[in-house]
Amino acid sequence: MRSFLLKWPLLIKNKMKNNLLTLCCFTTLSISALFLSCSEDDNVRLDEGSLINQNDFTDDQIDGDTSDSVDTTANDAGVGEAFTRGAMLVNWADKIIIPAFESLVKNMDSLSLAANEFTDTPNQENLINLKQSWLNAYLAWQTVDMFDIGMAEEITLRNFINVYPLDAQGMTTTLLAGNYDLTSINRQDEQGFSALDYLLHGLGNTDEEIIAFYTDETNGGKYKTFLTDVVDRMHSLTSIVLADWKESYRDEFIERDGNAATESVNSMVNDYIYYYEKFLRAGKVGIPAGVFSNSSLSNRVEARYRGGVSKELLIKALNSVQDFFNGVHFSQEDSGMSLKGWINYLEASGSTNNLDSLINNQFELIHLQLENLNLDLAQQVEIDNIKMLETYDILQKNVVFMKVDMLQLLDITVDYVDADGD
Amino acid sequence: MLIKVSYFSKTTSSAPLAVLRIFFGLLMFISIIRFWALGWIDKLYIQPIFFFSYHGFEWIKPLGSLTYLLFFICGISALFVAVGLRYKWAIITFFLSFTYIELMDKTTYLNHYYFVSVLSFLLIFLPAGNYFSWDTLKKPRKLFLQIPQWNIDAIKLLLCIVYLYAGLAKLNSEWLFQGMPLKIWLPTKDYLPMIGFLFRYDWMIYLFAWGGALYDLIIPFLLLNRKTRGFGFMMVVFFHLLTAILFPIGMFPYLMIFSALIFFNYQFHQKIIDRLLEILNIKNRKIHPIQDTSFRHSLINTAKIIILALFFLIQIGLPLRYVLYPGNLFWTEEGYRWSWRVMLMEKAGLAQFKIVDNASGSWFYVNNEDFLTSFQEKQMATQPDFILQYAHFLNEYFSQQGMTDLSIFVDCFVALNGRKSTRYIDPKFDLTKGYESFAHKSWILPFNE
Repeated sequence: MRSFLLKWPLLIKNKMKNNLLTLCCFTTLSISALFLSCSEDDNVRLDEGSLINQNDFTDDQIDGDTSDSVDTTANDAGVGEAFTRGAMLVNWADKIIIPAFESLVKNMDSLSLAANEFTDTPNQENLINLKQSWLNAYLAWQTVDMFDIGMAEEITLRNFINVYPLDAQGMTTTLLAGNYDLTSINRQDEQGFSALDYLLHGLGNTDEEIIAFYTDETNGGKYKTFLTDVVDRMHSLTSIVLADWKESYRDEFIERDGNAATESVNSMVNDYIYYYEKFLRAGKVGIPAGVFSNSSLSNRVEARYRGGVSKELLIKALNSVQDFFNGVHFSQEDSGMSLKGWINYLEASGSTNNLDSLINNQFELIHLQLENLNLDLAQQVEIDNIKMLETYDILQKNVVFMKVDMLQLLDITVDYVDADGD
Repeated sequence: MLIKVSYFSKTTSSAPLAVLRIFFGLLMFISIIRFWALGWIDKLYIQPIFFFSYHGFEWIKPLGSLTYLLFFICGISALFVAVGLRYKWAIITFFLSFTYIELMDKTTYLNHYYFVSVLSFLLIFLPAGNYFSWDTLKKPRKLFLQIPQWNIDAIKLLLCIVYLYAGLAKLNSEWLFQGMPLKIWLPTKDYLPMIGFLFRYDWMIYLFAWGGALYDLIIPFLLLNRKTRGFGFMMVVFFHLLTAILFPIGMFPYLMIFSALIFFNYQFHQKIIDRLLEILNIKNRKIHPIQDTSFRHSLINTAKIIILALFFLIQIGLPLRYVLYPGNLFWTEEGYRWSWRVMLMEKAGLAQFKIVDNASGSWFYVNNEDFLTSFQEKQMATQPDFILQYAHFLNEYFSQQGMTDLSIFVDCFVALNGRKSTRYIDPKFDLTKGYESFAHKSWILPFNE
């Protein structure tokens, strides 16, 4: 549904079709009109003359425009330097997105290594080591989840990496049957971090019980193979996305620096807000708290089998979202041009709602609220869901600020709709 | 009275009306093809599961896959209008099918579409098919070289109403003194070649705002006056092409440009027709009969005049109805539509609906994506009548799921013309208790400057 990259060639095609059609129609009609009206005999006096004037005018216009455009370079420097979309895109790509994916892939390397060690020697030490690698990689995932653009969007990375809740029963059936196809859409809720969560924490109550599944004479091999396959798939998918960013997509991304709907800024901002609204606000908090259902659903939290880390994952995601807004580099050492800078630039020349402070203050309120929550959001839901519902409402406020106020200020259309306006 | 009667018996050449008919028909035909080719029929009228109806027209719904047939009929009738084949039936069919399409979902409301409906309604009563048409080629007795002057003037009057009301609507402090919403829209066009850099300057925004308002207000007079007509038409072309470059407004600029040709004298139109005859290689003898057949006066003609007088009264009255509503027009949008208020505001909103089951006391929020397309959701969140209709739909939907005693509340925030978003609808008002009418909706929260 959100596969923008899959769609954008089509969108461009549509746009071209759109423009071509209108242009063709208009040129044929106008040429024929002018041709018809400017006939060789001059017996129409007044209106004929004015039409000829109109032709002259059009020529003048074109001349005028070209001579103007020569001057622009001189004027350009003074006005446009403070903020450019291009600089923002470079900051996003080079300082935030690519380093975040690099870190994720590095974590995937370790995860892969730990998984191999564990399947070679399924013992407690290796299991604990693997669990830690899993958590590190899961945290790293939170820093890239919002970048559902480019190759990530094309291969629907998120759908294969972090779909939860897991279909544990389906996964077990698949695993035992063997001969599965993890690329199938039907298997999306049987793999990724939540599958590993179950395979490492959910099979039994103690490490011994869990290890027993991998050392079992009849099925142990199947568990090992499945574990390896899931990890390999996550490793290779994330590596593909990183490689694509580095090899080609970065340049494409920063090149499309206009403000049109199909350009990078527009789609990135839309993806960003969509992520915050659907996956952070709703997925991590709203759905477990039961805001979309008649009752709360504590088993819908992230990493439910591990337990106790869902808040940590949420905080990591929230920090990443806030850092992106402020243009803070992945390294945390510096910051560059981002949405905050853009807002400041636009508000300097127009109305000042101090929108960037409103949004950042709201992020701080969210952090404050999170301090009141249990480390395990599932427990929070069960013990005192009111606090979860409050958290949702506080998160919601920033959806309003970003989706309504910010998009209006930035003149970005929500979920680009290709239709005529007034 | 005597002046009036003599005015209505004044005649003129039928060429301008024939030319208008041809261009209008062709442009509409192209519009339908374009709409179809862009896949919008499917996207706007087939895919959504719910449609927003106009008050009083709830019975008009998309027809499933038959919607394509509707567009086909609409397109073909436009072509028939252009050619002048069975003109009366063609223009009636076009008006009905086009208007039906527009009434299917008010999400897609555009003043431009309304203009097409209004103009095609007007054309039903005008003898636009009685000169240079297929009909007259087959039946020369249908040919009228002369038609009443008021037939042409009616079109001019409609165009003047459109421009003047569009201009008057721009005479507000937001547009003139805050440069809104152009200040939001134009700076983001700075990537355009040649003219893009201009939009980074504030004075340019105001030039556009004041220029746009002035254009709308004076263009009718420039076009009506013989001496300024050429210049006026030049302005029309320039203005509408500029808007075509800057904003995604589809076919409208071209429609306005070609409609404005009606202001030129009949010799100009005759020339177009003569040239068309030459190109199409139609023998002049058939189209130019020896005797001059003037349009006959009749009871029907009088009836037409009365109907169109009423029509114009409505056209003049409708845009003024907003004064009957309290509150800020841009905020409540009560009396906003059908009034040539074009590009006047940038409005964005977010509406979160809360469904409360009164039987159990439990509640939940609605995921709008489950029921609405993003286009519909966007339109819904800023317009009270949409919000109300959607709430009633939700009530019905969840009632069918077994929850019979529901209250529905909305937490809705709207930002208008760059102001900070504020709450739009009374969050304590149970929308299931509200009903659509032309009366003021008291549950819209007041607008704070």
